[in-house]
Amino acid sequence: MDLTVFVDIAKLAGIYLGMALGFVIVYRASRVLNLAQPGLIMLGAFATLTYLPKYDSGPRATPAFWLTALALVAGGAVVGLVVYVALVRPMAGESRVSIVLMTLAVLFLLEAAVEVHWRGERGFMSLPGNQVNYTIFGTHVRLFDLVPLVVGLAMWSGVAAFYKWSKAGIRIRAVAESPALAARRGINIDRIGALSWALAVAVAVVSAFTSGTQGPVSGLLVGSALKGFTVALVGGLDSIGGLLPAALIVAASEVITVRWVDQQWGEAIPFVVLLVVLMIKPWGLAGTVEELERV
Amino acid sequence: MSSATRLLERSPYLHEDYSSDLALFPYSAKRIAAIVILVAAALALPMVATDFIVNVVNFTLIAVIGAIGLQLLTGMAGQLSLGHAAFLGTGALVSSGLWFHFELPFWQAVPLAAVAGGLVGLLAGIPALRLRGLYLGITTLAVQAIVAVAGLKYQLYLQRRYGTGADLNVPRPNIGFFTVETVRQWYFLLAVIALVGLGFAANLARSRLGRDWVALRRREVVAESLGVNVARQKLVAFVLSGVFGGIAGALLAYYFRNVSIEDFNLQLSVEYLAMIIVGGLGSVQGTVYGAAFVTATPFVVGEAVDRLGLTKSLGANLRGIELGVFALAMMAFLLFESDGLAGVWKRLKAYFVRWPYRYTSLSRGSR
Repeated sequence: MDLTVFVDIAKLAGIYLGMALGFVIVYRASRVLNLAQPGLIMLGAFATLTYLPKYDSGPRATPAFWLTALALVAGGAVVGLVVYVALVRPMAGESRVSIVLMTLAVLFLLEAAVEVHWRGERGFMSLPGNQVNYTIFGTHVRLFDLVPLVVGLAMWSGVAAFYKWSKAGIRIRAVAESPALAARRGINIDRIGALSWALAVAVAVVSAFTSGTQGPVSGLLVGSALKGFTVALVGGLDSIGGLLPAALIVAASEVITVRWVDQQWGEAIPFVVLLVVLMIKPWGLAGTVEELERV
Repeated sequence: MSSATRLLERSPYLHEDYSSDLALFPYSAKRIAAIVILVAAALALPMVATDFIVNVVNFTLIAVIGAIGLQLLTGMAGQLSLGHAAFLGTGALVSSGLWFHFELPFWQAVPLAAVAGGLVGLLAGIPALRLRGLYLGITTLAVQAIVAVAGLKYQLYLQRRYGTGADLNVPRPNIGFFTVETVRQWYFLLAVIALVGLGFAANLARSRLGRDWVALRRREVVAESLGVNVARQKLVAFVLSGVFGGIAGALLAYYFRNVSIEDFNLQLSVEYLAMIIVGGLGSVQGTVYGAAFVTATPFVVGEAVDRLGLTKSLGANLRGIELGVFALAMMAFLLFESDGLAGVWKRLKAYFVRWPYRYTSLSRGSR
């Protein structure tokens, strides 16, 4: 039995899950549509390409590899903090459209920085496990086919658990519910915003790792991360729970279209799914209804 | 006091009766003088400027026409549009496709491109019947992605069926009896179209439709309870945005004389958004300043790098530098001058009109 379709869907769903998670984390805490996220993922990928050492080129290479990976994630968190404090926080109180435009400006600044610093470079990350293969039910499966879904699910459940049980997570949920009331109860909204941005960019760096298992690092990453954005909308912009079904739906329609219909239409299919789902459920599969539907 | 001296001394801010308050153009001698000087400068420009500068001005004028569409939709009606390039791309492909298949001349292709842009605008606006807020803005991103693939498919079909190159080509534009050939002739054609568009937008802002848009930009639920047909007025905003985008796209196609859908990407959409931010959201004259700023920036950066003798060290990074300057300008305006260049101009004007008194802008209180 040929299971490659399911493997492809699982792989893509895992990647989209990680990419969409960053959008949702920011949107939940601050109701900011973070269009800079694709740029942050791209920056993470290029930084990884340059700084991550080879995994098995010597006895001291393995700890160096893991420490660098950790440092990259931590660096992502710092970048998130800086973006929030310098650019997003000062926009508080402006119209939501203006704030979205600010995140777009950040996206283009990141693209410019990547263009100047890496100058059209492309290449594969030096990740371990490239050669590992398994045979499951007669289907040939690479380890790299399974990594995205495992990592995506781990991040997704990790963030969900963090929201559910940790003190900071409960505060984030309170702010998501009503910023004004949360502030009244003594929750520092600024700190919650900063924490969420740091978390989101750390997640972006991990998504960059998983996307690195699938292909070379290049500027095209922005386009595929934007498709991850459709997953966040299909699930509902402030819903962690809606992400998994959304990622599966979008990935399944894309893989099926690419395989049996047409390569190019496959690129647009996530957006078609987005339009269809939003026409049926205007706030996504599990998103909060933010405004009155009608007077 | 004779009426002549009153006309001379009257401040444009002083209204003595209701008719002057309601006047379309609050004429004063200074204002008429300013208009005369502007018109003279516009007529003189192609005689004194080099081809290079006229070329940049032409790009700006095309950008103005496209940006008016986005200004109506995002600036006035407050609906975020991340897919303006889809309208431009539709206009460009339709006008060049009409030439390719039917040899339809320029003056017939442009109105049809406007209609096609309007239809895509209508499609992009249909989610407005169901969606609210930022969710609606993102559906425009979806429209952009779908138009991009549809355009690509069309180009591939032409390549397979007719063996065209990767791009579509069109001839020099022919307006009935006259063929536009030089950049200077282009300048006059584009200036007329841009002026008509600007006049239309400025008038629209004062109409019922324009006021409905401002109401639904401020707060949709309140607008609806005041009797504004929110869904319809949003759709109209999308359609008009598509019409202007389609016209600008067709003009771009004929100006470059070849078209490829790949040029109409997200970056172009964001450049148009930057134009209306830098110019001032909701301001018609700001559209012109913003379009000029965004269009001229790459040329200015290129010239500056060239003049400073940095071509060797920075030449390869030119595109990145342009993009960076553009992003930083966008950030600076969002952070420090949310009214854009139009706001700067207003403040400057108020400063000089009231000098030596130091009142701040009249509009400060009402905004």
